[in-house]
Amino acid sequence: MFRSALLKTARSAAGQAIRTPAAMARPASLSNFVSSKTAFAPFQAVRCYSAAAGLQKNEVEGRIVDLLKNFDKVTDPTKLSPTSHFANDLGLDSLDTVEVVMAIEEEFSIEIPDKEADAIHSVDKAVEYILAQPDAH
Amino acid sequence: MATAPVLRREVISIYKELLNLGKEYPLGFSYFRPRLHAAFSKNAALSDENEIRKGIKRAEFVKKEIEAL
Repeated sequence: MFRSALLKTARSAAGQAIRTPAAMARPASLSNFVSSKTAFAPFQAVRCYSAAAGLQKNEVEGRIVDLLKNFDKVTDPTKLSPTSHFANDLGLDSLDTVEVVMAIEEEFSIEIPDKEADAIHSVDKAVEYILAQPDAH
Repeated sequence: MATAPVLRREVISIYKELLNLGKEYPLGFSYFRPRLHAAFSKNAALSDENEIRKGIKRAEFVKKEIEAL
């Protein structure tokens, strides 16, 4: 259904484009053309696949906190906050931290080198790292 | 933490490899993960380099066993 709607929109847009010279020639129908154009303006049919994902800070934070919420070693979800430290606040040991970092890698489909992974000890550090990665999703 | 960073990194990387292998463990990842964690944390107190090397050797052996499954 969405597809047929898309095709219809594309067809009507193409029709508009062809009709443009005629509309320019007759000022009376120009206003008609403009109003019909604004009618489907909010619908953006073109998506640039080369564009960066453009992750927002609160989105990244939410996804990491959710991920930790589902991690069974986190016994006290009330202590989860965007600033909580894995070892001090959440009671995770270094092996759990490795697992969390792996889960973050999977969540954002990136690979974190060991050196950087060593430095991720808290939620805000992880958020900072993800935001600095252009290919994180 | 007191151990050499090189060894620490080696242990962490073999832990990661084993975790990745464990995802296809016949009894399930939820069976595998706590046991792997317990096995590693049991040796967390090791501080002698040779002992740690022995542990890494054993982890390599276990890795091969899992690969053979």
